[in-house]
Amino acid sequence: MYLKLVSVFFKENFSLKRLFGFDLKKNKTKTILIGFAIIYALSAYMFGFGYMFFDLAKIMNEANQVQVILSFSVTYVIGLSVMMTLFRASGYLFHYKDYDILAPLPIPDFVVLLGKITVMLLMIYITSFFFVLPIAFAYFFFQGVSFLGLLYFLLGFLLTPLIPLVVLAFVSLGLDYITKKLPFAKILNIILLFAIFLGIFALSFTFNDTEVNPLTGQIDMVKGLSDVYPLIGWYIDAVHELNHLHMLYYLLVSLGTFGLFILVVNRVIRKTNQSKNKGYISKKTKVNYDSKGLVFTMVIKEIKKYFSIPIYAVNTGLGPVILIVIGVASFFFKNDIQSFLSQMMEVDLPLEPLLLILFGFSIVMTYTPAVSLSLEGKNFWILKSLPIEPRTIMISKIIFNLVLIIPIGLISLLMLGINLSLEPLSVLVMMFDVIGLAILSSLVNAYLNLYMPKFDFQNEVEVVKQSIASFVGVFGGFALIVTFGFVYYFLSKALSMQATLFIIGTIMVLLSGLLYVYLKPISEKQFRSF
Amino acid sequence: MLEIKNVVKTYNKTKRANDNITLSIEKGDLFGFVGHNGAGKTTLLKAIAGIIDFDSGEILVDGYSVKKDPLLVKERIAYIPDNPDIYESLSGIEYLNFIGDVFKVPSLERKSMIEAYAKKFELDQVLNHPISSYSHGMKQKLVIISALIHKPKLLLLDEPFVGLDPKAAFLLKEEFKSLCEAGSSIFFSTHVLEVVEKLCNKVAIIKQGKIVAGGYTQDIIKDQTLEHLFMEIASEA
Repeated sequence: MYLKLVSVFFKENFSLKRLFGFDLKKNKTKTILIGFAIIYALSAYMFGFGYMFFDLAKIMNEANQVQVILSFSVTYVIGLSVMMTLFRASGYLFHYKDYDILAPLPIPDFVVLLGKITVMLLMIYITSFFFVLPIAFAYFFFQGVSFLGLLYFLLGFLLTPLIPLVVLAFVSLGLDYITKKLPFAKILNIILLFAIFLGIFALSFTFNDTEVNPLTGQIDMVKGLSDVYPLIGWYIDAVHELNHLHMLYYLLVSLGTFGLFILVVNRVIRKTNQSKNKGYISKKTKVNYDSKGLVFTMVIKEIKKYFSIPIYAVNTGLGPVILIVIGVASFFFKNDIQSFLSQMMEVDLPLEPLLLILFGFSIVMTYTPAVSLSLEGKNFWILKSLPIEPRTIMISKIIFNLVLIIPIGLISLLMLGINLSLEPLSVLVMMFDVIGLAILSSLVNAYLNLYMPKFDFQNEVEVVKQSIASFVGVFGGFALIVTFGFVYYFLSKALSMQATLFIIGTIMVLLSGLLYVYLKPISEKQFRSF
Repeated sequence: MLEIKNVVKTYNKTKRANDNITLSIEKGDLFGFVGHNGAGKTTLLKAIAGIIDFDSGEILVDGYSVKKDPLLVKERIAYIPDNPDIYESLSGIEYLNFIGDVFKVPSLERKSMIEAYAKKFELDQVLNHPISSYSHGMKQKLVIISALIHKPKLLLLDEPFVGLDPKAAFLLKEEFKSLCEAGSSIFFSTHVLEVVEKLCNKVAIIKQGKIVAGGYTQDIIKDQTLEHLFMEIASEA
């Protein structure tokens, strides 16, 4: 029964149709194009990430410390387990949507729980695999492959997510419990998640001034984690020195904690799934009947949706948060910002384009138009049956994204301009670029969602993080920045920096204008096909 | 008010969900649409509402073509689906205001309509509550209110009585009658044949995508019940 459940849950979450949002057999051209895009992205990633680790492993091997590479592997798996459990545990364990279907079936509760946890673990394993594979290659290339070493490495890989899963499942439940009775529960939840991620983010950018490989800056952090979490040490000893006793410790502690969790949490899960998660209910009795304009009311709807789905806000809201943080940071770390940016991006450029690269990444990471149409999901019938032009629907989604990024971007830029004593004209041109890129990337993302929608989903995470439109949106945005980087490189040879940035902004605005003109016919055509 | 001419809708290029359907609904008609599961009722209702495209034929609402003038058609209709999936991030009143804004219902008129209908359907105390806290029946009532506040000329409903308590079902039937008396037309699908028999002046039966019987209810059922007629048609090859 357990295997049957796992197979059903797995199909529910990972069928290709669910992942891609369309039937692959019936859309061959689309499948081939997306297939190429994925292969390209994976190859680029594997090469880039793999090269960094290979390089690091080479350096560490020369210093007889190649085992440090293993702690990266464990740390990344722990990090991914933390993030995925934090986002998934509530909807996957404590309030799962198919509880009413599963509860009346003659299946013991713990078998259902095991099935659910197994699928969650499979998600963690699959995602972690892409990080661990290049690390494993780099490590075994320099250390040499032994059967026992490889066996312990794999065993460790499978055991590593167990304890983080246990701890973070309780953290997720705790967050849910603390915040759900408060008036702004979801917003509070989003703030807490941002706090956690900014902490992780800050740690991962602990750069070393003298090193070229950015990973070397993370060695201290990884070593620090090993000090507070001794299991990492056991794992390294087991794989690197073939210390059987430490492997046994690792096995017993991980499985023991996990087993205890299953026993304890089984009853908790039964209770949480039975209780209705209604949350805070307003006691306000006065009802507001004020009328508003169509686009305004549509944007308000988008805002309400945004803050009601923490995973949506956290994943697409990181850009504005980074911009606020860097803007405020400029008051305190005036002198460090340029060197920090130069090291982070590994390019030697004036401060203005460096800042624009950071702003660019923050803007393209705010990709709500790439997913907001898909997120209409089962509610899409409402918009389709109402007298609203498809273009108006898409524009309201674009405006929402611009509201999210432009005001914060401009304020942050103003703060940086004042604190870093940038020329007023440069700040103005940079503002023009920020607005141009925000509009262009929002329009591109809207097109992506029109062509690659995913209306059939159970959890919003499938759209926000796992849909093709979100994937292409973010990486396409990165490609857009790289392209404009090349334009800057060539134009700045002949023109002043300000003129170059102005021309880049103008190109963005012109491209946006072109996309805007075609938005009406394209959105009408695509809406008819949905 | 509603003219459906030779409408064909095919799924996956093979299954004909609507096979050359022709129907006419006049002003003031209360039209019942019955058929077994998967016969093509929802497909036709969605095609009229502009939710799904159809392959060929013509659908006219108040003289406007669904294909050529979709916005003009949608301004005249209200559609209620079989499952009230609505924005759970909004409160009841926010959803009603959203619909009011889309149809440009003035604030004063909106207030009086919402107050009256919310009281009638017993939602007046929960309008400020999030829709996520509503039961299935409450959501269904909210969708019904949202369809009524802009006074549609044509009301399209897919299984409207599912999930409603007896009082709400009674109120809805009364609302149907008064709307039709005021000149609106109603086209709804249902499996409750007694309701069609007692309430509707016209009926159509759909089987495997084709209309197999249609017209004035009394002419169709003659001296038998609609249930008998339906079973007879269902048993025919």
